[in-house]
Amino acid sequence: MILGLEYAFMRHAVFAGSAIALVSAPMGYFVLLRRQAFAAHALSHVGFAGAAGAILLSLSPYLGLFAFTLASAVGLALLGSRVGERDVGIGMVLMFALGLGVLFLNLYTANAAAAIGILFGSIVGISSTQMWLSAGVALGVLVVLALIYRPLRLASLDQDAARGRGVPVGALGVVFVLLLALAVSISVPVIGALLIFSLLIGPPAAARVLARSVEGGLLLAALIGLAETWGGIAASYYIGYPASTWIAGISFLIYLLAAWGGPRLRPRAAR
Amino acid sequence: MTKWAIEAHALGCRLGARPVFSQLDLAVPRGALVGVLGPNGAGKTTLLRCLLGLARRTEGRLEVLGRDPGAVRASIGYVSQGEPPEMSLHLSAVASVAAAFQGERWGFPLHRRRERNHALEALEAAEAGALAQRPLGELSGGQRQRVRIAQALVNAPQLLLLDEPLASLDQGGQQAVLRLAKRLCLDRGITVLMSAHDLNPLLEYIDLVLYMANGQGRLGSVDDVVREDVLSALYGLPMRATRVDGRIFVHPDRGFIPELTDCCPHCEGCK
Amino acid sequence: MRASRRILALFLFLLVARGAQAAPIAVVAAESTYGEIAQAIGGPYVAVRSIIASPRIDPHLFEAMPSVAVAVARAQVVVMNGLGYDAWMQKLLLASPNPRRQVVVAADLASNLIMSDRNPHVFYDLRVALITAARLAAVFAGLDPAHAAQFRANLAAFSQQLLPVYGQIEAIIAAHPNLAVTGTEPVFGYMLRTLGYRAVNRRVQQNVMNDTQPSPQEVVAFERSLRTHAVGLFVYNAQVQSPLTQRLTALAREAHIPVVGVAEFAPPGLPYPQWQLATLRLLAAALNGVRP
Repeated sequence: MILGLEYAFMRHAVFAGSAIALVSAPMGYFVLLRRQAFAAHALSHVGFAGAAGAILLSLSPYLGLFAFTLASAVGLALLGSRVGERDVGIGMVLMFALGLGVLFLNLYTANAAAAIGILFGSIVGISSTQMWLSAGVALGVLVVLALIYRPLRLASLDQDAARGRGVPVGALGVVFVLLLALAVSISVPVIGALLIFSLLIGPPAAARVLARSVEGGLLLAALIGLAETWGGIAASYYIGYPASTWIAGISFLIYLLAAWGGPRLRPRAAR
Repeated sequence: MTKWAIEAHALGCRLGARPVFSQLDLAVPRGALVGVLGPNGAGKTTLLRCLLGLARRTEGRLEVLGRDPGAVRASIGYVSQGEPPEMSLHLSAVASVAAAFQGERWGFPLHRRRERNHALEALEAAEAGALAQRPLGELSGGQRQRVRIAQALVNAPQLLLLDEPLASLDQGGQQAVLRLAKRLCLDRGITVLMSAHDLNPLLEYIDLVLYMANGQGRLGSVDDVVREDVLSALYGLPMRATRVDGRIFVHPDRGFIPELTDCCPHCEGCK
Repeated sequence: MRASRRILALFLFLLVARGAQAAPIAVVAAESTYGEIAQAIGGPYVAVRSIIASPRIDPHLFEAMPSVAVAVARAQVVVMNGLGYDAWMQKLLLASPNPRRQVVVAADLASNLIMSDRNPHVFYDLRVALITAARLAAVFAGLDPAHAAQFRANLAAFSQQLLPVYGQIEAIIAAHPNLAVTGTEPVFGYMLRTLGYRAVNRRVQQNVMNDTQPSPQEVVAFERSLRTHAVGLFVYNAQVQSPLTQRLTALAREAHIPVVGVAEFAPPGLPYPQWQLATLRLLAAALNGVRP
């Protein structure tokens, strides 16, 4: 069978990877529009501290990951809304959380591989529980995203215009960061905290250059994300090397091609 | 339907503890083009936000389109000061306008064709129909300002609030925006309030001027308001309004306030 | 047609011979240490694949690839360390559920031998190795009853090969009893326990293992114990090094404290008893003042 789909772990990898790619693409597109890439980066890393804390308390590292990421998202949402101010707040939350993480590891006297493993992720080590959890959370995030889509789109493009039409811009921002925290929480154990941008930022960044409308960008980003995930898993299966390396590599390549080829595909009017 | 687009009596507004303006009497007839003038910090932006119901009025009475402000938001188009976010510059003009169509409603837009048609109509109305497919990043400042006005027009407003739409435009761009504003008043009966730094470019277009200074404001025709006695009362110090070649320069009796005019008639050095 | 009959006979013989050889038990070992033990017990009737076999890999941090996951999915027997030492293997097992696969976890077999700080490097306890070998012999016998006697014989030979290792241990204890020992990581902890040695500066070692920073106080105490000769032996992990561990190792050498480097798992191809013996000989040489 192609792609080793006769193996349960490959089915889990393809299914969970696809769910994560499909939720990362639209979330990442809005992350770019709203210039919240630093928040996404921070959220992917605070999960490590949560995992370390959970291990210390003999709980599942995933529980700690979700709890810490969501709590940090609330913290981020409360700390400033202007971009400059927001980045300082994110830096503070990230710093504090990672400090706690190091402390938890320091207090923990046994082998902490499970906490550190969170930073790397393992796409071929997904259990069926984790697969269904990822798919369920991804679906939930997409449903909420569709519900808040129009106000979010306007608020991301023009905050003042959105306020003028009575959109609760602040509350919407909080909901968005919480959704981002959920999307990041299911991605980190699969693709790893260090490589989360290969699905969250890579595909929307390429799609942004190629698509002229928000919906076109979302669709294209989702397709690119799926292609990267499947391509990465297939390359890893047939050729070797870790899948996350392949996904990151393909992501970078597609972005380069889009950035180089995008402007050439479309004859532009003279400025 | 009342005759007045905006009716205010002894209107006052505070931001925190600081009173921005007070005792403002307004009666703006429908279909008028009103220039809102005054130095920085006079409360022009706050007044526009007050009309939208975003800044809370703290005293007096205010009716917008015959109703409470905030209740008629759907009928108000608002273009804030400033530029679209950098990350949206890849979007086509029509996509950025479509994003504003019923942007306050929840859910995913299932009738994208309808959204697009409204956007194209709004662009036509803003004399930017030819720009529909161009990405925002390729447009000049004046073209981009027309696209932003189209964004405000897409929901068929009866009142249009433009905050400093002429800032950072060259003369040609300013003229195009002013002609457009006038046409919207005459052809569509839309009431337009436009804040500006400099009175002179507006002179031949506006029906009324609202001059704000020192926490107070006066609405009337240019000849009724831009007078030395009225301005002196507003500023609380002796003011002069010098007319040179059909242009008016407002300045204190001795010297001038640089931000009031882009040039002073007295000194040789500046142009 | 004699010729064709001969050819047919030869063909049938090859088929039978192949059939007999084609069904070795598929064994996947997380680390080569356990791969060597499985090979010693299973002999030609098992096909062992050791996943971490390169001495340059830090087994605490290892990202599995699909080829590894395939091997795990196909394996009839998986043997691993446990105690979070090979958490990645736990993930792979969950990702490829297979009720017929037998999983042998060394640390779980010998839970009474685990140190109170749950030091995961149980393979430096010869008793754990023997228990694991015995469990593997039983598992192999269940899967391939025809060769059960062979597995039992291999197990007996394995335990015989451990005798010289115990002999070396006794010799070291006799010559150098009751040493205080420190090191860069708790990797050698179980062997030190067997030797009756006392491990000091454990906190620094835990932190190095978990890639967190030891506190300055801990490092100061560590360095003082080296300078004042409060310790009689310094053990470093030859596989995982950092600027801190290299500096401490150099400091120990300067203070003329016996230094020995130990590995996290057996070099591929070196049977477990020989590996232990080689390590202990290095230790004895260091204690006897022979610099490598």
